[in-house]
Amino acid sequence: MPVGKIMKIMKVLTFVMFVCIVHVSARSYSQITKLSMNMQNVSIKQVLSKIEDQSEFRFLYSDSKINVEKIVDVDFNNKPIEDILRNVFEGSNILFKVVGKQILLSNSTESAENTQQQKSISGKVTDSSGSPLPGVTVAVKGTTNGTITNTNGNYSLSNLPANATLQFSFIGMKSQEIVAGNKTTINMMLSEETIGIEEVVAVGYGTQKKINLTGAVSSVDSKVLESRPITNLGQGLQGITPNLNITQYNGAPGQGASFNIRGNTSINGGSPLILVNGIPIDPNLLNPNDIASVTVLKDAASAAIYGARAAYGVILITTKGGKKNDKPVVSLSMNYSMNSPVVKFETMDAVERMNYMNEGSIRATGRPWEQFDKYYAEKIIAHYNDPSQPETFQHPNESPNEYAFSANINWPRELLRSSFPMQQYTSSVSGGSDKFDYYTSFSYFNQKGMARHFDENYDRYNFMTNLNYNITKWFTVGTKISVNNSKKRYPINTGIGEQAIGFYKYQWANWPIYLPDGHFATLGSVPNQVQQQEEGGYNAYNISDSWLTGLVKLTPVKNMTFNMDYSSNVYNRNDVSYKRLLPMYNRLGLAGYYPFTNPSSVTRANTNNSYYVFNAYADYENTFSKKHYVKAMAGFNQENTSNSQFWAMRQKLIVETIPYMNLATGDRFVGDGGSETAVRGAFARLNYSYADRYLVEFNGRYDGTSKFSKKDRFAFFPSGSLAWRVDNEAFFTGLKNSISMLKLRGSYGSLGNQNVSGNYPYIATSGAVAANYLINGDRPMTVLAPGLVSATLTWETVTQRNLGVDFALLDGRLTGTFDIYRRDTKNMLTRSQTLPAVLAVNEPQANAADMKTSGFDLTLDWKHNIRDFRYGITFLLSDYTSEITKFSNPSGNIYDYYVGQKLGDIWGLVTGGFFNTDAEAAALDQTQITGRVRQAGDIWFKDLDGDGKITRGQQTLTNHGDMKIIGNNTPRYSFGFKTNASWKGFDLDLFLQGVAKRDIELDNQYFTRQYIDEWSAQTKIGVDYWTPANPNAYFPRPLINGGYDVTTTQTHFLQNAAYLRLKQLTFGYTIPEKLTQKLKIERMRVYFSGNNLWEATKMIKISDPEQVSVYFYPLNRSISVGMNISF
Amino acid sequence: MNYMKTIYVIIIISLFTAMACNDDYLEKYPLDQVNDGSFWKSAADLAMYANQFYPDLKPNTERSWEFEDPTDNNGPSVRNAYAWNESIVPATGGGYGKSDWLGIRSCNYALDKITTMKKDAEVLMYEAEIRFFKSFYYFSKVKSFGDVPWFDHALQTDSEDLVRARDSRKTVIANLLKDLDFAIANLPATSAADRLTKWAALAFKSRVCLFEGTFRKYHNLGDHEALLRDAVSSSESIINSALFSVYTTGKPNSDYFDLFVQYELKGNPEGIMVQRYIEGKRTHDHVRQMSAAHSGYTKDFVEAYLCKDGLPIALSTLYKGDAVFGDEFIDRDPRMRQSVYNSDRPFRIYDTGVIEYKKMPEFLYGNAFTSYYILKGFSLYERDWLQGHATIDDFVFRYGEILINYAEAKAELGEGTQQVLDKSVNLLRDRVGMPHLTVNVGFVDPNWPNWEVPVAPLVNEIRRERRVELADEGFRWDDLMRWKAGKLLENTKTYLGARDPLTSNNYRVLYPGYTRKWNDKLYLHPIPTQEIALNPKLKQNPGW
Repeated sequence: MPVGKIMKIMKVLTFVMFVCIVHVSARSYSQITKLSMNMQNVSIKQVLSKIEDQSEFRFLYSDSKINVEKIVDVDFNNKPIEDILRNVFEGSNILFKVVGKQILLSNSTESAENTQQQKSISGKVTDSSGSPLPGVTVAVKGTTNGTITNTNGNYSLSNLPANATLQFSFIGMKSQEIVAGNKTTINMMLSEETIGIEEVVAVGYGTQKKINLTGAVSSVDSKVLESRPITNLGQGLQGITPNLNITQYNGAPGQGASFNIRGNTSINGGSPLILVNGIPIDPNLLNPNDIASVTVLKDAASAAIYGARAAYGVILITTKGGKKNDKPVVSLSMNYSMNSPVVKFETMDAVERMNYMNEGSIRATGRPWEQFDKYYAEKIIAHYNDPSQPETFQHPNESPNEYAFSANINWPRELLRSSFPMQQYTSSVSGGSDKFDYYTSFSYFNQKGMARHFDENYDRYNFMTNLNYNITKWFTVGTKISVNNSKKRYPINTGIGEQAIGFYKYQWANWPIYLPDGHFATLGSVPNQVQQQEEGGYNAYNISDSWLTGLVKLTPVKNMTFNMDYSSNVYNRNDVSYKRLLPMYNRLGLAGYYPFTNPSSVTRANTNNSYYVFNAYADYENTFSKKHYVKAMAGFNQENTSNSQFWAMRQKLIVETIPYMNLATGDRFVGDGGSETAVRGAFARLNYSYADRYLVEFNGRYDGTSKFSKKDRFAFFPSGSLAWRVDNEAFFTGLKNSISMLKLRGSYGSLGNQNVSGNYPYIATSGAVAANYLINGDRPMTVLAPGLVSATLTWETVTQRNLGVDFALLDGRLTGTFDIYRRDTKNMLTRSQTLPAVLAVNEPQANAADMKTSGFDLTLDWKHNIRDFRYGITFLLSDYTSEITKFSNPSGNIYDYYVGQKLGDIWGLVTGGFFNTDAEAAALDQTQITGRVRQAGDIWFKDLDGDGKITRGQQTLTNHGDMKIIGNNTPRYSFGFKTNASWKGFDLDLFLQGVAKRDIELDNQYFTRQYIDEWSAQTKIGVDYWTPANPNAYFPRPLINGGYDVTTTQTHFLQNAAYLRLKQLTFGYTIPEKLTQKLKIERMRVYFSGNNLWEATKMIKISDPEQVSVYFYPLNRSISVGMNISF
Repeated sequence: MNYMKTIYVIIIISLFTAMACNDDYLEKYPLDQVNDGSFWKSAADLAMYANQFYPDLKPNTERSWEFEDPTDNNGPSVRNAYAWNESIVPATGGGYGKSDWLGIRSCNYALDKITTMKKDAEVLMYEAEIRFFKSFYYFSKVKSFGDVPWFDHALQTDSEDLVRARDSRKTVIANLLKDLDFAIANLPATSAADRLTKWAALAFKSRVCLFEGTFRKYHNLGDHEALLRDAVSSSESIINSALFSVYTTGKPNSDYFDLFVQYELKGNPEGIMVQRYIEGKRTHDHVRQMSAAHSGYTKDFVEAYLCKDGLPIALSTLYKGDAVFGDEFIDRDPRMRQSVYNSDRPFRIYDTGVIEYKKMPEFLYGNAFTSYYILKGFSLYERDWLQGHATIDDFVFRYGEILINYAEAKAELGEGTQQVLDKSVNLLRDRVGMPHLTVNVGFVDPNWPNWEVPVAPLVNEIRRERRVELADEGFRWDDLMRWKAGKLLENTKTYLGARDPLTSNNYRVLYPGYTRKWNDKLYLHPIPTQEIALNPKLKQNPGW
């Protein structure tokens, strides 16, 4: 869709949303709010507090200056606030001023008392982004003289004493003081309270004040996700929270990221439970701009409330909502970016490949490569030196009907673009009245792919609405609607899939794209990839994911809430695979059709999943005797899912360009499948704190799952945590100036894990397939023997200990959190002890292994303002290691799990170098590594066990020959470094992220594979191979089919995957309000942003250090421009 | 109002406690899978189960000629690692991996279930199929590894059998022959559906007994005679049934070639059991263009063909020598021209009708570096060249093999009479118009292979007949193993090609600089190291 058209659609949509909602709260809060009260013989203070209870009005006054102890009678029915206050203050010297929801009280005698003052001062107060802050209280310290900023954030004060100190305060912002001195203008920027008493984070089934947390919980707000060219939530959260490890394995359009919290939890893998507003939604389908906050529950104690699915930690995502009594805010954001792959694929050119293959073939068979005889060599070199020479010729020994090829094509460049666009548009409206709040957003995201001859396209549409309505004071109902639709179209990659690069095979440089007659050139039976992209058909899918939540919140008695919600999800995915018949050509013209494309076919598949979640929980919260704070919560959760698939295929399209089964003549094939699962649990939590000093929390959950048999189905998982607010102790008062907050935490908890492979692991079932044999002229169905299952499977349990400290230093400018943890995973459900091959099937899953993981996470935050210049620095560091503590492996097989094994250890040989002479090669017995005769230029290995020959022994712990642990692929010391700064309207964000230590064994594709496979296209770096003239080459001497000494795991080809990457650089400018106000725009920011702009790594340049693979779609660098507007 | 509140709360609480008590919520069972409780009820279930084994008879991914690449028949473009003793002991797999034992387990699984079923004739018939396949799988294990453990039941994780020592090959062969005899007794005589028949089982028995009988004889293991007698008797049963005959249309110069490029073998008199290929249902990839084989016959092989007078090239006056490519085809056994390509016949026939000939010799481009292109089994027609699209049918058991098995077994027993030859190999010679083999042979060929264990002239000639008639049908490696003839691979002609005019008309050297040394350890394959580590009672095969 052209950009212009999208903008038009968005404008219309925004207008519609605006019109629907704008009338709801066009008037100000003080005008629409009517209060009723009847109180006799009460103090003014009590009246004010009653008003605060009944409304959102807040009074600002100084007790010492304003006499609020005066006794009055009030009796009003449905009156506006101004009427009430006028009446209450009648006869006193109290003046009031209503600004928004804030009411400032002042003493009418003050000005008279201070008439001798000479000075006046004015200025503007803004928030950290530079937006004006209305309603900020500006007071003269030590007096009751003060005012409130107006809607433009401006204030003015007169009659100041000579050495006045101004105090600026605003709820949620850090209060600031400044000595007025001789200044007549003081502009002030207020920043958010870093550890604000009121800061609230989402925890399981509820919220908790951040200051009261006892577990290891991290949270971030929407700011980290805004104003960046991110394709999905995972990308946006990477490196933002320590030990929330996010990996993006490939950069294909529409591909998501994988999540992990605190490292290996179970050798079964698995990812954290990700809940969006309490329900498990695939975060990769969401619009990152809809997200209000993300909370990561890292330790068992915090996650325990989610029981059986929280073993890998929990990520709670809260989406944006409206605010009561807020005028409608319409936000628009747009972003357009250009992506370009970080890793560029390069293959050998025609002459490089000819030399390489000849060299390798002479090694293998004593003669040059079969395709590069003297005729080929002559023609290839001729074309290479003079591109006007033909790309094809007639080989004297080949069929007169065939072409022989002498081209020199750079296939990666022909097939892949160097840059491709991405764009994203979001519009939202939010606001509310006193009974109603709303948030509605719509976004469109589009990403193009790398294919040069195919319009690879990914579209995502997100629609979200959150509505809450207070029916009565104690009864709220709400609705959340979220519709995530996406669709993608990508080329047919002969079955390799959408993430992979499909051309790696066969596209040799001497193969031209076109024949002299203009037809696509044909070589062998693998389609010419340009032809494949242009004419081969396509794969496409269309995902429609809709969530509907209804919720009820009751407040039957004071301090108690009762919540219930029910969500249903319908996930529907349609796939089409449309393969066209691709013609092959030779000198005679049409020479048949590529076998993989013949017959043409169309396949349609439909996946239909439904998911139902029911939650009900109640909580009670109160403070007794001002010291004993208690919060209790208990609830119930159940979820069930049912999945079904259906597919149909028909071959032989009548019209090649119309991929419909009705228009095909071949056989019909169909298939289907289905499954169901359910979980159910009851849970409770108790929080207690004494005098804000000692905090205790208990969690418990009783969980059941359909994945285990009835007798092993239910289990109880308890946890507890403690915290000590040292800074609230009396003895600490002296230290408060330097250490403004200090909290020590400790937790211990146990969790279950039902995340096992298969939905029915305890039931033996038989698959049914069609046998590849003709009986009675047809392929018959057959039923296979079931695999082995263990009848006594039960829960994995994860116990986790966590110790943590939270602190704030230097007046809150430096804050930090440090946690160390140890996690023991017991009874991991995994393949049991390796048994002899005569068992003939895989060992059944059993509760067979234990593992321990330990690590730490650290966050340091620095925030500071120097006049208008505001900056912040965040540093993150985390690490973990895992070790197997139980696994039955009596033979000590090193390729199996064994006790004491560090997860990620890589066993391999130690490369010594390359043989310099054939004699040297003959002297070392490496026949157990490769049977081929070794020569000069081949790799030699170190004889670690000194037995005179290179062996792998029995590959056991006691006999591993010359192998040793040569590295570990666990990413160690993940770090992030983030800065943000703003000055006047400008802002600059910088984000660096990296891993300090990691070893990676790259997969063979494009790397060492050319030593064992003669058919793949050879990678360009392969030309750096050993010759007598180049003894220090990276690769050994070429060898076709049999370089098993090259592909064996060894130190030489092990990659150092440590990296430092500039993940994000954003530079923005907020256009001064003076200019935008004329357009009725409240705020308008334009920015330039880049992702993955730069990196430092020692990894070989064919792979991205984050991706650690050379087979998948590369990650992208993106450069974007964007704009945020709100009005 | 408070009253209302209480009502709401009570309704809600009772609603979800009611649901919580409903235990069925967590009872979920597989929806789209069969479990044992619903299967193993009828003979039809058994038949359906047995279907899974049929593809293993000769997988459509296997090309017969590829099996002869390690032998003296073929010269592949790249040295075969095993035959050149360049392979290493694998850590896992290597024919001894889990998937390699799956067939045996699957048979045992069914045999365990069948004990619970009522055994009517139909059940017995499918039990016979399953027992046939069990013996089929075990035979390949014995061929590869010699001694292997014999299992009567599907193994469980706690089975003691998992860590047992190997059973001797004699035990295993005795056991598998019992299963095979059960199959022969219970399989039907005919099957319109192309399932196994008693004749197929007899053919397999003939093959097994000949292999094992001669293997024991030439490797000095003893107890071979009874097996050779079984080979004779099972072959005789087939011959005497008179249900099968040598395919011929009276054209000695084309019948043999035509037999291996038939689009429909069902009903062919030579087919004891055939496997069919039908477009859109099951196709294969065995016979792409001749040039795509990446292999060719060796000098040693083409010299094995007799001349038309029944004499070997060293003795026959008809032999024109090989100085000029094409001369050596003149007046040779007609099977030579029907197995090895020469320029006087079409190389490719296009759909458009264009016919292409290939000028010989041709070593360079085209992937037969011996220049002796494998013609047998390769279709000349464009429609069959496409990868994975060929529908040329294939034999599972060919009557021709049985005739030769019979002759060889008889000869090994010293019972090779003219009558035996006339009802066996001479029928095959009749098809191609070759003179009959006589009991006394009538000549001493100076080129008879230098067998490690010397054999009589008649055995020599029957072995020649076998090599020629069954060329590139996948038997040669097994034959060399059972005859203890690995040393033949040291003969340089086994990796030489035709004379190459470009190199002073010397024989084409396939792998310049390499000579082949036979090592006796190659008679048996190595056991993977991990298996020995897991089961200390499992010992490595000698020499590895």
